[in-house]
Order: sequence, then C-alpha cells, then structure tokens
Amino acid sequence: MTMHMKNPVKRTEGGAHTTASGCLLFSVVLFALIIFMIIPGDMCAGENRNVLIINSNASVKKYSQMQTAFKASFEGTSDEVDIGSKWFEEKAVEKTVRSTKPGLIFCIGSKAYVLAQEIAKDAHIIFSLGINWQRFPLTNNTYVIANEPPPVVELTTFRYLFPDIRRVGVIYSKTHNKEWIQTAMNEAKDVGIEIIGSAVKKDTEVKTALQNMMTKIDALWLIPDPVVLANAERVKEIFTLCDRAKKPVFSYDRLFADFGASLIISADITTMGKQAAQTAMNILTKKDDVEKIQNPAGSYIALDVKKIERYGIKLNSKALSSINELIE
Amino acid sequence: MIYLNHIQKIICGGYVCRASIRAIVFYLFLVFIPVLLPCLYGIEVLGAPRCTVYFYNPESNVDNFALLKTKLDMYLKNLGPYQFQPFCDRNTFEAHARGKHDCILILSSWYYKELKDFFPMKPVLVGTVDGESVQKKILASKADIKNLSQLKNASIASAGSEEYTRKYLKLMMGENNARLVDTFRILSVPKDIDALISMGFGLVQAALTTEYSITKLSIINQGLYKKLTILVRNEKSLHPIVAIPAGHDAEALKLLEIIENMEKTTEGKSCMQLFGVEGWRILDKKDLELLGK
Repeated sequence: MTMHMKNPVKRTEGGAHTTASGCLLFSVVLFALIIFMIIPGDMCAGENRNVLIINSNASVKKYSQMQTAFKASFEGTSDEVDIGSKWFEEKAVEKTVRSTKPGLIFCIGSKAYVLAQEIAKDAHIIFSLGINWQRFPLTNNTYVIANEPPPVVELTTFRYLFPDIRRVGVIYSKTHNKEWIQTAMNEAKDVGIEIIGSAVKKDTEVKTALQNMMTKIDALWLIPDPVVLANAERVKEIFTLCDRAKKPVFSYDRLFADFGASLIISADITTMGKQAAQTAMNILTKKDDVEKIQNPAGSYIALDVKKIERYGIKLNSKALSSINELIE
Repeated sequence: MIYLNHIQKIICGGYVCRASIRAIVFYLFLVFIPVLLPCLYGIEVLGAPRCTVYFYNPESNVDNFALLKTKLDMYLKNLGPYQFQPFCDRNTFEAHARGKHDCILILSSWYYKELKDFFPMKPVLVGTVDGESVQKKILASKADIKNLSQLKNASIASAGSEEYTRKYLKLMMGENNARLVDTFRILSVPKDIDALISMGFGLVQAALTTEYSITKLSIINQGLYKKLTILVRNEKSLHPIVAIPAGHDAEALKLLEIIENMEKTTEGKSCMQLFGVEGWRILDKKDLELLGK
C-alpha cells in the first residue's frame, strides 16, 4: 500500500502488466477449450488417422469397388496410389509413404501387399482381396480380410436356402485342400450336412470320382482346387455329368454361372470395404481386440431358381429376399 | 419452292416429278411422328410408363436392385403402362418421389414413420409373412455379454442402413441408453444371417436382427446359435407397407389394385418374395397405431 502511494506510475504500469497477462492467459485457456471442443475426444491422444491406399490395379472392377466402399466408410483422411497404372514408379510410392507418414496402409490385392511389405515393413497393413493370402508372409502388424467366406458360411447358406439338402459331395486334391476338407467336414456337422469327400491326384481321375459319388449326394460343392479345375474341358465335364444326374452344383465364383452352376456364394466386396474401414479405425484408435485374420462379413448370392425347380429341389421361399442375383 | 425444285432435281436426276415430292413429304411426316407427338402430347403416347412403384427399404442392405427392377418391370409391363423403381439412398429417393402423384410407394414401416410428417401420403397395405404383419426385432450379442453396459464402444452388425440401425437401437433400448448407442460402430452387412455369422466369428460384439433369423439359425446351425444371447426384443415393427401419395391420380389407384393382387399369381408371388413379404393386407387399427396414425 505504501509503495503504491509512493510511486503511482509504477503501480499503474504493474497493473497494466497484470491485466495483459490475465488477458493472455484467458485467451490461451479459451483457445484450448475451443480446440478441445472441436476435436473429437478420441483424436486428442495424437492419433494419426491418415491411411495410404495401395490398389494393385484400379481398373479391375472389384478392386475399385473395394476402394470406393472403404473411402465411403473411413472416418479419417486417405492418399491413394494405383500401382496397376503404367506410369507407376515404386520410388514415388516410397516418397509418398515418407512424406505423408500414414498411420496405416490399406492394400487391395496381392501386388499391393508385396509392395507395402517392401517399402514400409513396420507399418500397420490391412491386406484385402489377396487370392490365397496364406502364401504371403505376415507380420505382427498385418491384418488380413480373407477373400473367401469360410466353409461354415457356405454350409449355413446351403441349409438356409435348401432345407432338404443333407449330403454334399466335394472332389479335392490332398496337395491343395487337405486341411480345408477337414475343417469343412467338422463344421458341416454343426449344420446337419454330411460332406462326402473324394480325393484325386490327377484331373483325369475327376470323372470317375464324380460318377462314384453321384448316387450318394444331393449336390456337388465345387471348391477352388487347381487339380480338379485343371482346364475348361474338365469343368464342362463336371457340369454335364451333374446336370444329367439332376444334381445342382454349388460354387464360389460368378464365372461358373456360364457353365451351369445352380448356386454361387462369394464375399460381398462392398461389405468387405466397410469392414476394412472399420478395422482401420479400430487399429488407429488402438482398440485392443482387433482380429488379425478376419472372414468377410457379407456374402453375395447368385441362384438359378429355374434349374433348382427343374431338379426338384425344395427352396426356402423366405430366403429369396437374400438373393442378390438370379442366374438365367 | 426453289428448295423443293432443288430436291426434285436431286431425286429425279433433274426431271420434275411431283409424285416424288409427295413421297418425300409423306416419309418426312412418318419420320417426324415419333419426335413431334411426344412434344405435343407428352411421352405417354409412345407407351412409356404412366405410373411408377417407388421402393425404398433401409432395413435391408441386399444389393439386389438390378434383379428387383428386371423382375418387377417385367411383371408390371404385362399389366399396363407401369414400372418399378427401387432406391438404395434416402436422399435420392426423397428428391425423386417428392411431389409426384403418378406413383405408389413401397416403404419400410420404420422409414414411413420418419417420412409421414413432411411427405403427404396414406398407408394402405402392409406386407405379411406367415400371415403376420408384425416382425420381431432382436438385439443379440455374444454369450459372454450379459447386459447393455458391456456394449460400450462395441461394433454392431446390422442388415439395415447406419441411420436406421442407430435410430432403431435408440428406440429399442430407450432414451436412457441413447448415449451408449452413440458409442457403437455400425457394420452394415447385406443380410440378417450375415450379421449373425459376423457375430459368431467375433468380428462384432452384437447384431440387430429378427426373430425369424434367430429361429432359423437355431435350426440350421446349433453351434453358432449357442454362442449368442438375446439382449433386447422389440415386438412392434411392421413389415414393409404400401402407401399412396396425397392427390394421387386415377392410374395410381389402378396400380395399387395390381400390387394388392400380386399374391394371386405365381409371378406376382415370386416378385413379392424378392422384397421379403409373402402377401399384402389392408392395414387394420392395430397396424395404424404402430405406424403412429
């Protein structure tokens, strides 16, 4: 109080200084509050929500469909590289990785995954649409969205659509599908289906194997086996024999519709894109329960109703709203 | 006249030929009919559809629009100047259908309730499955989840759109749980059965589905069925409804009658099954109450 009386100028200066500091402090607090309110809570921990999408070839319909579905559902930002383009340069992608520092790389197709492994070994990678993904090396930071629905999905769908189908034939080679057939046989028990398997060593054995099982099966399940599906002639032969015996053929790719498949079940690409986006968000927000290997969440079903009727197979009419496409 | 003479010279190699002039005028008239008539009297004169069935169902994600369009168009064309137009996006549907009088609407009952206050229309028919107009919606979860609070930040699979799933879950779970629903991540899958299977694999913690799908799963896959538990059940949801816009024209009434009678023919019945119903019946008092009328 005495000091104030003695030097009023000093007091005034000190007061101004105090007021200025108060204003500054108030502004800082206000600014911090505004920032805190604008930025969502889970981003405050300094998460990197930028993803680099590497597409093996954007001109392939299912690859571009996957990319579109991912971008529509992903809540962060993304950079994109199409390595199927003839102007593609590996060094440019490396440069993009270095400059954008993505929190995660989303690979569409095997070629993209191989490249991501080379240029960003330590990055979190989601690998999708890789044919037979098991043949690629996976690291602790790799997450896979499998390309094919697991046997249980197909078996459940068989029963959902055709309540009376109980015995399904599968021709396979032990070299390629020994483990798969074992899994399928176990899972089939849960669904009330008996799998009648027949192993072949050469494609020339397929005809005899099929003829031997024909009277014991309600349908044939054609699986991706390079020995069984060695060439178009072999495929035609399988379909001709089954048609003659009025046995439907269930398959995994739209390609077999032209040969006469009655039912095709494949993974739904749009759903896989959404699934990948959600997985990316879970990884980037450091959710601890992210599955490393994921089955595709949705299925695409194509059905030849006329053929099913011609073969005298009972169809669950309530399941028709689940059909994506009628084969005609 | 000079111009006609010129044409005559070209056609007749310089010789005047009045018969040719008449022929040219006649053929020009024939050629211009398809262009002039629609301009004068509207596109209908060419046999274009006069009335449309608009379809929008955010409770299903099955991408079968090409199939629906082909089948329904084929069915309706045999019965008159009608067509079918499905939509997969709410905004596109509303922009397209708003203010139209030459149409009828097939809508998810939930969506009808969202729309009714700002889109004047009258609900007339409701879809039935096994003779029932009501479907039971269920929130099922993995067996180790015993109560709703365990679902905080969970991923939920649903065969409906994200908007529908969030709003429906809030309705099912009550206002008290609205904030909990906001923490969910919604994975939209094509079908109810996909939602249940995704949960079985551990991809999501819960699934919004129907009682029919759960019952079916219990029959066809006991292993998967045993892995789930039912958290919430809602018994107050109608199957899709058919509505007619206010100020509709006479052709819309004819089309409504065609839709009502679909189940009487094999082709009609198979078309209806594609959007998940087996028959239509006139909405009764209870149904109207469920629609908030």
